[in-house]
Amino acid sequence: MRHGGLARGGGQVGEDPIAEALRFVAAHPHVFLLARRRDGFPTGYAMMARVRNGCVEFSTYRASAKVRNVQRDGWASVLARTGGHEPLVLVASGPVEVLEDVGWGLDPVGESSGPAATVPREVTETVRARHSSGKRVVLRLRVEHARFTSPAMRQ
Amino acid sequence: MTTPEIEAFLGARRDCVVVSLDGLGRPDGTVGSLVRDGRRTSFDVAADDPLVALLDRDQRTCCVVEEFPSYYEIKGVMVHGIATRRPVGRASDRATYDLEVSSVVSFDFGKLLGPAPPRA
Repeated sequence: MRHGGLARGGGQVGEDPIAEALRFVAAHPHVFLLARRRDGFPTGYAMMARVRNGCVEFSTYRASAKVRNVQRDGWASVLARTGGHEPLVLVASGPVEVLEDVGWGLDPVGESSGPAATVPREVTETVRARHSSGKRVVLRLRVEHARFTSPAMRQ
Repeated sequence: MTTPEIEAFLGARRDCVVVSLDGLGRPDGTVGSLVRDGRRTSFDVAADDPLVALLDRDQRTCCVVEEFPSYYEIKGVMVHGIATRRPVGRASDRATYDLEVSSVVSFDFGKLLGPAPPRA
């Protein structure tokens, strides 16, 4: 499998792969958080992500199963993709921590643009209020490994 | 979603995310294609995808099918099970697996959040 610089996440040849992965997630924030359930099975959660402080972050309810799952292992992955029939796919993984005192602003995708419009403002405001009340927490994934694949890379 | 809604949802869609575990038990994933035909479920991924080696080692799998036409119309189904690779009768660029389903989880934002507010 080849991994050419410009053919991966659209970055420059020689760019730090972690930085390239973060930029890709910021541009494609409708992602899948991959984790392992208590019964040992892998699982995937469709979520909106944001990129902040060099990490991928998710907002979710403190009492949710995904929080328990990532806390148990302390590790998770994120899968982001382009659209289309033969998408460019990123799988990035690393340690995850649960942050209780981090807010979630009106921009749901942090440094990215465009996809913010996919989450209605009233929803984002509710999410922000849930963070303020402590019902929601932030999952912060620090990317240590990143892999891009696409059908074109396999040819 | 109800069971009939899940069956209709899966029957009408192919694109999925396939999740497996690496040698350390950490999750990994790729994109694939899911086929739900009555009670039989199967999926395939590119034969040279790194996930194929992981599935050979650990058959526990999750397939996620999701659609996101708008925030209030987000729907998805997560199918967990044991994946068994079909024998390859001839050269193929796809690896196909039969999935013995152990659990199905679904979500429908339209039901969770209620109908979308009227557009301005």
